[in-house]
Amino acid sequence: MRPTSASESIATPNRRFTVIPADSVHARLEALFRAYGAKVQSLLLTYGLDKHGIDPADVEQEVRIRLWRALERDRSGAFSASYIQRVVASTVIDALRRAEVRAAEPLPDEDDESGSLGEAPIGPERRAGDSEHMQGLARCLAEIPERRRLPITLHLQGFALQEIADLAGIPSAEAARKLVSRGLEELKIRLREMGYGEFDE
Amino acid sequence: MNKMSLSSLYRRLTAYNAASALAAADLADAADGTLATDRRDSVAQVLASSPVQADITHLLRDLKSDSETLAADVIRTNRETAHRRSQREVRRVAASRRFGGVSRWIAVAACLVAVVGAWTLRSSQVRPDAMSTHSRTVAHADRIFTSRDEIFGVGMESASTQHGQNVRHEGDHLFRGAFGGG
Repeated sequence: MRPTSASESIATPNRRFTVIPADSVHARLEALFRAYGAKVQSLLLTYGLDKHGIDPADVEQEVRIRLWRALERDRSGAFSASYIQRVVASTVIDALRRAEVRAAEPLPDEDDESGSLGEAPIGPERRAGDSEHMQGLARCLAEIPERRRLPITLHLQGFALQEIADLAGIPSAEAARKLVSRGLEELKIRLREMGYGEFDE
Repeated sequence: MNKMSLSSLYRRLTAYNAASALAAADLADAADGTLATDRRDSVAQVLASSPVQADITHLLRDLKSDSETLAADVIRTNRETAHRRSQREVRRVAASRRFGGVSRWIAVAACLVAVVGAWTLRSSQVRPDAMSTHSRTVAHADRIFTSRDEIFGVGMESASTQHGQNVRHEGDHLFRGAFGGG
């Protein structure tokens, strides 16, 4: 059987013209959505969101379905990047909510993994030590003024300086950097003074 | 001795936090850096205390350029499709015009044939009528002549037969009266 192409040329005795199959546009959009979905799936794995009980393949498929629906609903409408971002966000949130509902029935194999994003399995001794350190960290953070605490905690959650500036309403990334570095130093000193040892960022 | 990672410890500390779930729009805006001022503080607090929502924001941030590319590609594909569709429409209109031109000429020729046919048929039917009309005209002329004769005849007749008859023409009366008086 002859492979079908997106478009093919047909020669007649009088003229030569190109026939564009009706589904070529559909195939092109499908390819775009598929490539985008693959990126979404890889990022879900990168950020360890699959550890929260969601299946990256399911989320990817759901994103593609929602984007198709949006496109079919309004083909002439503005298919903006921000709209696509919202579709991804809502799909991931919905998947996490469904996973939470499923998690109401605990799975025996996963109970020691939850909550440790990208971390190695934690043994009982380390868990006890961690618990102690976490309490110390929480106490030290509570003592730091609010103005510095928010940039520090955002930094500890992995946000970049510009993002911290945008989120915390700090005038510039440089100002955020100063607040973060001073805050972290203060936090480390406090933890050391309280006997929790040395910490890295 | 190995130093402990502060960020790792903090993420474990906040992993079980019951932070309120942010709306998709807030997460997208946070990733985009376009969060409204009135939403900024509350969203920042949630992101600072929820590793999952912070990770979704990071994911969206990393996905931003791909989303922009996808949006541009989809718009371009739709535009090209619309352009191709309009070209097809133009071709169809042109083809219908060509076909319309031919059919118009066929219609004109058919009308012409019909007119000529009708005229031929009519002319063949009209000839005997024309003959009868001619003869009728001739007869009518004769009658006029005859009527003149009659008028003339009436005048003569009224002159000869004077009593017991209705005279039809005034002129004849006067003519007759004048003769009577004389």
